[in-house]
Amino acid sequence: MAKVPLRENLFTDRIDGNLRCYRCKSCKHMLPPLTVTCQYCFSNDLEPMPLGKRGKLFAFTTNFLNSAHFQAPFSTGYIEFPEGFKLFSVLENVEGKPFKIGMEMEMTIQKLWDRGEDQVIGYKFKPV
Amino acid sequence: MKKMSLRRVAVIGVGMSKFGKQPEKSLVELGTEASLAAIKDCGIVPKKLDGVYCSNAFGDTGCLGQQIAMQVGLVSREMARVENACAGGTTAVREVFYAIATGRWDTGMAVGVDSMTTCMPKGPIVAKDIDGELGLSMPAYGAMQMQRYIHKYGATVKEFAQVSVKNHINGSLNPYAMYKKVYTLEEVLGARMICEPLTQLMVSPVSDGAAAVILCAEDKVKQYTTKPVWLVGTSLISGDYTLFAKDMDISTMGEQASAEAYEMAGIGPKDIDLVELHDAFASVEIPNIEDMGICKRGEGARLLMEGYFDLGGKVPVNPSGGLLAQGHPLSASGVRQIAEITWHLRDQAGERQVKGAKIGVAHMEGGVVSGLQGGVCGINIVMR
Repeated sequence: MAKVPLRENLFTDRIDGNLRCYRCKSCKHMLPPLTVTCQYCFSNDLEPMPLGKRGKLFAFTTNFLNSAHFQAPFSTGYIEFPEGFKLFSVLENVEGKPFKIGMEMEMTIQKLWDRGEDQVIGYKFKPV
Repeated sequence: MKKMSLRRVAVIGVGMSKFGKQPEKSLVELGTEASLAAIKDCGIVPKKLDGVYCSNAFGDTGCLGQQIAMQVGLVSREMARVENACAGGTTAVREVFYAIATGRWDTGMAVGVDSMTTCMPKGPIVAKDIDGELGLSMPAYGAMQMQRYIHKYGATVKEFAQVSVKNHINGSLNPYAMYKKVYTLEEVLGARMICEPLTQLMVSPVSDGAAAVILCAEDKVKQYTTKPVWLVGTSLISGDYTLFAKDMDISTMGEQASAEAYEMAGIGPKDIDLVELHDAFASVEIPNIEDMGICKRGEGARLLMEGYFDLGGKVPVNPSGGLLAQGHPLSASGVRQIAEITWHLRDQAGERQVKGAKIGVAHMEGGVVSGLQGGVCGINIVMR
């Protein structure tokens, strides 16, 4: 089974490392992963940077309907980063640490689902 | 937006199909039912129509507008299909408005249709959207909007459940509503959990249906009615980057679309007599009311509990029962709202009539796209 990233250029080491965010070389703003055009000044001259693995939980819900890839119940939410943007993620439960807005969360890189012969590698966040 | 000289445009005919689970009916059959009702409403000879915009999100067929129009006796005209998430119907009405207001047409029809039981795709609504693949659904987004509102303003889930109670009461008075049953607050809160804390009774149902409206230029209107109502404001705004979001419960496209439509109509939020808005989830009605400037941020939940938005309240919101009770065949809803408001302005809304209504605002918002605050918000304003 080959390991493939959820999206090419999502991570600093294709299927490992950190999430890859960007700094605009023109206006110096930080931009979320997979950005093509700076959302502040519309420059395409972007420098890849590793995104820190920690952020704060901004909002969350537990889903009681299956999604295309996850069996219910599963939790999802938005993580707010010090770099100034938020990312949507599947959340992992940690016993004794119920989800709460503002709590510190940490990323892990892991297999999300199988696609044919391949393992799709992505990210999840869990309470620190 | 660029200012231009526009003709006045009247709403002369409105109609709906039945809304509900009706997988045995095709998109064409549903659209034809609604179109014939709108044609009958104003008595227009179909070949007098200059064109058709057909809104449809989930289709199993091409040239849908043409297929519907040919059933009612209209061919060889300008016709196109539009898709714009939940605001598809709003967009079709707006396109017909501008075709007439700018002088290209004298009359035209907007028809919106969706069959959610037969055509809705499995998986993310926006195919291959990364957040959609990761499990972000519309109700999940709605649940988190509610959570942010509660977090900031100290509201509780009860106020949002009351939205569902109110809209089901309204729906019970509406012969066109999919659900005519009244529920208690306890029943809404205790229903099956969908995305915590949104329960099944706080989520609009899977529905099939169509709605149609016929618009007409001012100088032709006397042929069809002596009591026209007028489409006086329209706006359509796509979502800004998520990066610039104020918060999940605040829609900047909703704020912008409202302001633009009010300016075009020459009204302010204090002039509104009734609102039909996008309550796909009970969690979004209060934030949408606040986006529209009908009350201040953080006040909506309290006002709702005081009956401000009830039938008989200061500004009735979703007198039809809204998407929660009326049903929500995606692309039909924005057209259906114009029918509902027209009935109120004509004093034809029966038991749910908003007394003395002169100005109604139709609001639809929809679409979840990774990296954007939302897909689209559209507003249409109708005045007596």
